[in-house]
Amino acid sequence: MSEAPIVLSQGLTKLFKDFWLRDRARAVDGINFEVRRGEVFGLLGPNGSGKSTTIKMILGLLRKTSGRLAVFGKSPQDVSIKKRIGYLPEESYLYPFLNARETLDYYAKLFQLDGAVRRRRIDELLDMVGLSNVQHRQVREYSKGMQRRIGIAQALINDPELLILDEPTTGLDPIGNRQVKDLIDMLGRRGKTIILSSHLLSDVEDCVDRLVILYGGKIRAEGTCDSLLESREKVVLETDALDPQTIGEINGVLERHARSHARVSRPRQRLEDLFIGLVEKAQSDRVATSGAQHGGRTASFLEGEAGGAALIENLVEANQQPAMPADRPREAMKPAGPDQSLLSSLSAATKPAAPAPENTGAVEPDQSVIGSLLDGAGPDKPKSDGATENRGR
Amino acid sequence: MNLFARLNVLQQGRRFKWIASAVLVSVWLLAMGWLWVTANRPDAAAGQPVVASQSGTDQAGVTPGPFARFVDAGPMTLVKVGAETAVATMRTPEGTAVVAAVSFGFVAGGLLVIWLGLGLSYLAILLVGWGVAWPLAAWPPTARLGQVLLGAVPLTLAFLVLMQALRLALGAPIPLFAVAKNVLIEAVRMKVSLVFIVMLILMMALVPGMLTEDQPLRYRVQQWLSYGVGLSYTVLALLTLFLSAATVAFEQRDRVIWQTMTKPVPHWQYVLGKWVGVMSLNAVLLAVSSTGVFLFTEYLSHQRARGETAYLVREDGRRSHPDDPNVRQVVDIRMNEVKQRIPAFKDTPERREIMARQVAAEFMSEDRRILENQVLSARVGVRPDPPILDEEAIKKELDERVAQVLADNPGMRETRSMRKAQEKELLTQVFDQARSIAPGGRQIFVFSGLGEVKKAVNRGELTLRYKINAGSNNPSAIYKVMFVISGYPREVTSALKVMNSMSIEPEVIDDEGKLVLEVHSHPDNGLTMSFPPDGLEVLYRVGGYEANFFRVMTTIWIKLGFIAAVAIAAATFLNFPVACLVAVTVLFAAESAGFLKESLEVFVSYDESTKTTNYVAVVVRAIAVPVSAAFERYADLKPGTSLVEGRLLGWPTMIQAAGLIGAWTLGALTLGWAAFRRRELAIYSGN
Ligand SMILES: Nc1ncnc2c1ncn2[C@@H]1O[C@H](COP(=O)(O)OP(=O)(O)O)[C@@H](O)[C@H]1O
Ligand SMILES: [Mg+2]
Repeated sequence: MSEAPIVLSQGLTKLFKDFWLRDRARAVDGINFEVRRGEVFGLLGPNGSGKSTTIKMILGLLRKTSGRLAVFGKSPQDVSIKKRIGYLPEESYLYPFLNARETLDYYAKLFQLDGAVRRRRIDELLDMVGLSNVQHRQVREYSKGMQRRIGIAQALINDPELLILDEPTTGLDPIGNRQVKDLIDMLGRRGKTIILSSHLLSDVEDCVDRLVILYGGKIRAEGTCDSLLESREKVVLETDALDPQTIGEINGVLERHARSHARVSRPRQRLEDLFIGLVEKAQSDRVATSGAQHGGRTASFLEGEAGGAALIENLVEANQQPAMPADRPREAMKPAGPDQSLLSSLSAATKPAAPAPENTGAVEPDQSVIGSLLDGAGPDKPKSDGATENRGR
Repeated sequence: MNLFARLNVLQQGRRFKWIASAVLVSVWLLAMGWLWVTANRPDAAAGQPVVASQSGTDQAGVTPGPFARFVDAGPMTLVKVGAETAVATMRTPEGTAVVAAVSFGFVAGGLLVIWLGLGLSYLAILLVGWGVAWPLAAWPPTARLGQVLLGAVPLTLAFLVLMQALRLALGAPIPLFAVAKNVLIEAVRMKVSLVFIVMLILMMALVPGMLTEDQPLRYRVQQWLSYGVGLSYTVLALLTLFLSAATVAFEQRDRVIWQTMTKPVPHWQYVLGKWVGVMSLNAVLLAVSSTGVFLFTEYLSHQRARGETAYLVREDGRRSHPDDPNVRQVVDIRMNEVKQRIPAFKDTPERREIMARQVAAEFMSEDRRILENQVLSARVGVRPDPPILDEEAIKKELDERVAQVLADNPGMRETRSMRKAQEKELLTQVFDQARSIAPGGRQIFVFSGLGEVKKAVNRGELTLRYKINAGSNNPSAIYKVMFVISGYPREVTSALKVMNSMSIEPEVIDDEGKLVLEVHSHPDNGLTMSFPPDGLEVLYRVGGYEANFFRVMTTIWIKLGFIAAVAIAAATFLNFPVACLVAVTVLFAAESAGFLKESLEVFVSYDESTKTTNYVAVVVRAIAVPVSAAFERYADLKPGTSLVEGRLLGWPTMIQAAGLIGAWTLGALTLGWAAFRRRELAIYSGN
């Protein structure tokens, strides 16, 4: 990584002042980080921790109070770098009087894309976010989630090198949520740089390469997902259904190893998976919806035009469990824990076959901040997230 | 549903487009041919009225049956009236070109609609709109509403067509155009601007019905022009102000701008794009409303004037058209006279044409002649020469006055500014004196520089405009005055403080281009009368109103451009209500700069008699003096008034206005750009 970083921040600080120029809030407080080419970078932190402020400074929507900030090696106010950036704000701010198609057309024209390219990209993006059949309705009639989808499409219209997503999954249904993650994954593999902010660890943990955790405008933790999330104290065991006798045997093994608090529980199907299953069934039965559709294929220009699609296909196949074709490629397992000997002794007794575990990464909050993130979803978390349900305890 | 879908496919088809275009163009060609033949039919010129009277009875005196009345109420009337007006226009010189140009405008609009694949849709709107309006117009209680609708439907269609054309024109993938086009869409789809647009169109359609037929035609035309232009300007100025402020301020309040400005959009393109958007909407609306005003003016002016039985046919049967045989006869006689007097005189067709027009004008009824010469014309005004001053006497008087002031104020020293003030006062008195006449007295005024008028081939008549003041202008007083114009006396009576006008013959101008006016005040007049500074003027015609009309509308558009720039600039850093307030204030200051200037002359910060400085006045003057100086020229420009008074707003004036207001507009936009560039868009202190 000798290459210049896409975003470089040194001692970046933002002070909000009130009308009388008195300090009101130190939203970002001397943070250092860099976003390297081709990585998916997570900005994690509870509400009000300074994520959006940082992003807005990167975009030039806010001016830094002090410190250094370079985007593509230039000032964030520079118009020339904007060509390479896509941005999804924390909420959907759209022209209510335009329809979906006109909205995308407008943004495409800001990038000076000519007619044919514009038409093709808009068609593909509308298809991808599942709004093709409502594209002629004005945006003001859309639900929040549908507006969010246009927001995502709008951020991708220029096939950006740097994609900045501010809490992209808020307001989305589980399918949209999943799609966004898939999209991030796919774009990440295509070498795009992505900055992803969220207050939900579950949103970012399976897609980011590196992340920083902000709290009160300061960076509290930094590193790869694994290094941050890896727990040395707990482990989750997921298997097919076990009869009580086997459970007893396993408990026996555990007791012999003096793991007194261990308990084997039945894994539950993830709510997300259940929901996806239901909708997929409905779609295969051709049930009509006037809302957002389950989106279609990823826009092919995002896949790097020619050749890109094939590459993705390969990647997908390589990751796919042959036994579970409905499952997504993303669920490559994360290392469950360091206690290899224990694991191997268990594996003899159980069958580590399908279904592949979703989230084996158990977390032991050694920092209070991380703890607050886990169940910090709190009231503004719109959906029940399956990911937290089968976390071992 | 299926039918609509299929019709839609049909109208989008290439074959349909070609066929429809061919039909439209051939209908147009046929119509033009028919109009031309009708206009040039020799028998038509023989005194037959061209335009049927509007009232229920025909000239033959036959009351039409209910069916005919029903037909008359419908859109066919529009077509008929249009055709008759066109025929009448074609009989005037250059009329054919005017009719061809105007009708080609409609054909071009139609072609555009067809090629946009909207041919059938628009036809349907037209038919449905008129279909609703027709029965309403035929049923007396709702006749008015129906007539308004009949007029509103084509105006609306014209608006839609032009908007489509504009959206096409702004289709290029450039941020500036994208922003501009977005403003257009916003204007049409947001309710507030739509209210203005509908208001404008409805008012345009409504006003004609309010012109009462019992007054002379010239007043009706004048009223219509004044309403039409005034209304357009007022409504569009308000729309411009609110739309400009809204489109910029709300976008920041609602944070929609974040996604625009994080894309490669230079700040100047955003600001300019907003302006271009508002101004192209204005161009469309102004084009629609001025086409409406123009066409209805044409229609009105081809109506019967006072003293006519039909258009250009006087009650005594004389027809005041250059092509009329009677007129030609007189022309022949006069030509022979001239040739006998001046053997070298060349009898060319052009000369005959000019003379025919003069003779025709002589044959006009008074109402018609005034309409043609003082309303539907472009005239230039000349004020009397300033009195020749006796420099010596002035200097002597000034010295005396200064000495007097110094004697009255022992502590005072003579300063330049004090002398200047005294001089100004003295000169004002002298000039006022020169325009005042005591009862039984007289005064001579010389108007020079009229040589061109006398020589001009296409001269019309001259008009003398005058306004008399006396004392405190007792409203019931009537003053008797005798005007002796180059030796020809004419006695008039006039109320005070009222503008009057009087026709005078170009022959009274002497060879040096001077007109000498001697004014006698009747001994019975109670007080010394005087003409205010703008109260005495000779106007001469330099052309018709058509080109003037175009320039007036263009000037209005230029003024709107300034309003838009101010509102946009204010809204880049202020919230909507404050931006509106600022824009209204600037606008008000600009429009009233002339008035401001007059007020400032008496509003002084230093009172000489009490020797005190009024500090409030100092502040007010510090703001008001530059404002009035800056906007003086802007305020002087009164395009609507020029049109209504039949005054020339010439190309030089228009270009000057464009330069001046254009510079102001650019200044305002630059300010807006600078403010916008410095803004942190994610800080919304605006709300
Ligand atoms: N325009 C503003 N004016 C004043 N304070 C602000 C403004 N925007 C954000 N803040 C403050 O900055 C802090 C960080 O906000 P933000 O970056 O939006 O947090 P988040 O991490 O949830 O995106 C918060 O305390 C917030 O109140
Ligand atoms: Mg945020």
